[in-house]
Amino acid sequence: MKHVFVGFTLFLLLLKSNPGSAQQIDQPTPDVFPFQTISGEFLKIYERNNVIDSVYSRFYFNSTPFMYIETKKPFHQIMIIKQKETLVYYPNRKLAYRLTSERPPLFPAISYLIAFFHAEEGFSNLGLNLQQQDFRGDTLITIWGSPDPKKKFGHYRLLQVNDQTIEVTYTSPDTSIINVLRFNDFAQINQVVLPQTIVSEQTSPKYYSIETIRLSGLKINLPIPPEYVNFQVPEDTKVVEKEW
Amino acid sequence: MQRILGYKGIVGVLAVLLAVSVLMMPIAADAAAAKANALPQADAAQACADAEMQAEQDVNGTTWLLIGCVLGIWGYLIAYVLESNPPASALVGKSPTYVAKYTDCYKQKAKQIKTKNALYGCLAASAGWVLYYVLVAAAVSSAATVE
Repeated sequence: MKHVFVGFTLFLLLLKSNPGSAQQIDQPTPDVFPFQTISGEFLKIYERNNVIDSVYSRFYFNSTPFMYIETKKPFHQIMIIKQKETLVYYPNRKLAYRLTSERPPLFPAISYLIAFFHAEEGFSNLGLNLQQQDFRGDTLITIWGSPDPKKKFGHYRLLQVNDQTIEVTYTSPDTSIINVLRFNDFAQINQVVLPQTIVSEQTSPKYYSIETIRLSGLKINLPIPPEYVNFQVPEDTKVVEKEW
Repeated sequence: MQRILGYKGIVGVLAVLLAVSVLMMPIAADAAAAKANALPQADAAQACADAEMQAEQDVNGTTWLLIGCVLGIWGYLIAYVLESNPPASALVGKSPTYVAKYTDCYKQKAKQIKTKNALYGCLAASAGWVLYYVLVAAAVSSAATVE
């Protein structure tokens, strides 16, 4: 189950526009991450086709998986993702949306860490093999592609320093689509090395987008306060059920 | 001032000002309301544009064309039923209007891309089979005529 998840998540994060993308993943199993829980804050800066947006949120994640995200500005919003359900609650407006989906939603910020921890494993699970490797200074550069040259799969380039992933790039066969994930600003927290800045850059003929996630105040393996894990919307809240 | 206009003059000016402000009040209130309403509308339009762009980015049309091609009508039905992993990240810190509109537009656009491409694939495969049978029938007919 873990390898299926890692493969499909990498597929999803880096191969969005590549033929063959199944665009589905299952829930991550607890052994996908080298921690049971992680909490902190993230600043997300998103730019697409020259429109910039940013949001600052506090989050708690456990690998069961469960995620609690609280944003204060511009709207006080609490988001809880559990299984195939996303609850989006606005305390000031006494309004909540309960969004259910056929497939589990992607966890904001956290999904990128899967590519950080399991890039090579993900390529193998996708049936790709190592086609080229080279050292440039202290950086190991490996190129991964399909063993079947007839399959127009494109290729991945993985950059690692001391066995640590610093960049993953997907290039489509005609080079019109280039998706890059960069990991920077590393910190060691409870023996686990984590990137504190993640940049996802997607370029295609139709769009250009860049998302920067800055993680701060990270704590791992601390129990999540029960008021977050067992969060329930107050009874006087209007709950709108939606599917997406 | 009091000398020029006199007491009655001042009262008159004040009355006119009051009347004008009372008359203008609904207009100002309407303008404020219109501005307040325009924000959610702009938010909704932006949400739909964002959702559609994201769906185009997430859902691969070529894949669904191939699925439709290989699985025919089943591919079309699978495309209609099967959902994508929704991008919850896009809803973080957004307004209720944005969330409501984004979810609707994302679902609609993703389904539209998948079913449209699966249908094209299905039709292309069907056309291929029809052409194949026509050619086979023509070949058989031509062979029978020769005999």
